Amino acid sequence: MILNILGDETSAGEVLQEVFINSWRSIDVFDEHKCTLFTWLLNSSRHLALETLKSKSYAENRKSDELRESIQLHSNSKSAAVKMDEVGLKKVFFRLKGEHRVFIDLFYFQGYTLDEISVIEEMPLSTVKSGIRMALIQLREYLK
Amino acid sequence: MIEYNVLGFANETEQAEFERICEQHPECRAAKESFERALEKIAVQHAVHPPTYLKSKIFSQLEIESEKSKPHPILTDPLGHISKTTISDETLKYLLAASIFLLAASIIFNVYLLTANRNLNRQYNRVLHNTENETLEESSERPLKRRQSSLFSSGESNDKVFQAPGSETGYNLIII
Repeated sequence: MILNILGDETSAGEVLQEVFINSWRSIDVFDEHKCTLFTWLLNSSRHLALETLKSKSYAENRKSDELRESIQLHSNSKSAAVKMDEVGLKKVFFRLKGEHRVFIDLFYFQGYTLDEISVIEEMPLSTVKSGIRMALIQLREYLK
Repeated sequence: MIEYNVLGFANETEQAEFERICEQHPECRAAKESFERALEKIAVQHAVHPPTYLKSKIFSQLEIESEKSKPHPILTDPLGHISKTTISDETLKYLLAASIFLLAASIIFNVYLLTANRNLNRQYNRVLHNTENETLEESSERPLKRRQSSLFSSGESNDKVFQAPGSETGYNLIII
């Protein structure tokens, strides 16, 4: 999950460590009646990874990495980002139909709000909402 | 609804509503738990394992954290003996809060006492002042009256004869 969001192993490792330490510190907050430990950790990981993704320093580092990659480029046919689509939960979620996959990617893995997705995709908000809903129904079917 | 909440899409209000529904409808809770299990299973299947060094790094970090959260021993007592008593962070927080509260209460009480003391002093001085005035008035009036009664003694002539006090031989003063 963290790797899916951040796209590089070093940052993902740092975030993973932070997730465990935060969870250790706030284990008293965990309520087993509300969700399983796995779901709790999964959502914590997603939240922290998205926070890191949006942080200024991370964005700057990423920009310089991308610049370096573009200089070296064209020798590798697949970029790191594409590879990340083939692992973890993203691999599972990306089996959804095209349009639904885009919504889930923007919403779940990139942390955009529904309003932002509506602007990016140039679609009415209601279409985005129903698209997300359809994607989740598909996902449920798939997990069955 | 279930997927939306489990995957963390819902906001706090929606989550609270969903939890309330799960409490009221066991079948909804069962469906939620079933989705969570399925998600966990598929996530584990497709998981990318972190490098092995990271596991030991995380565990050593957690050990440090657990050391931090252990109760702190009190090192020595006033005589220099090592004390066996331990005190936790929570207790320390309570003790600190209690001592701050006691300090504040003590300051307020002292200010109150100081004000009361000043008021009493002021009252005492006023009473003392009044008593002195009264005593002075009394002491100045009494000998005058006595002298008046002794000096205005009756004479044969119309002239009033004053006898100087304390003189037996009498140098008499005559007021015309």
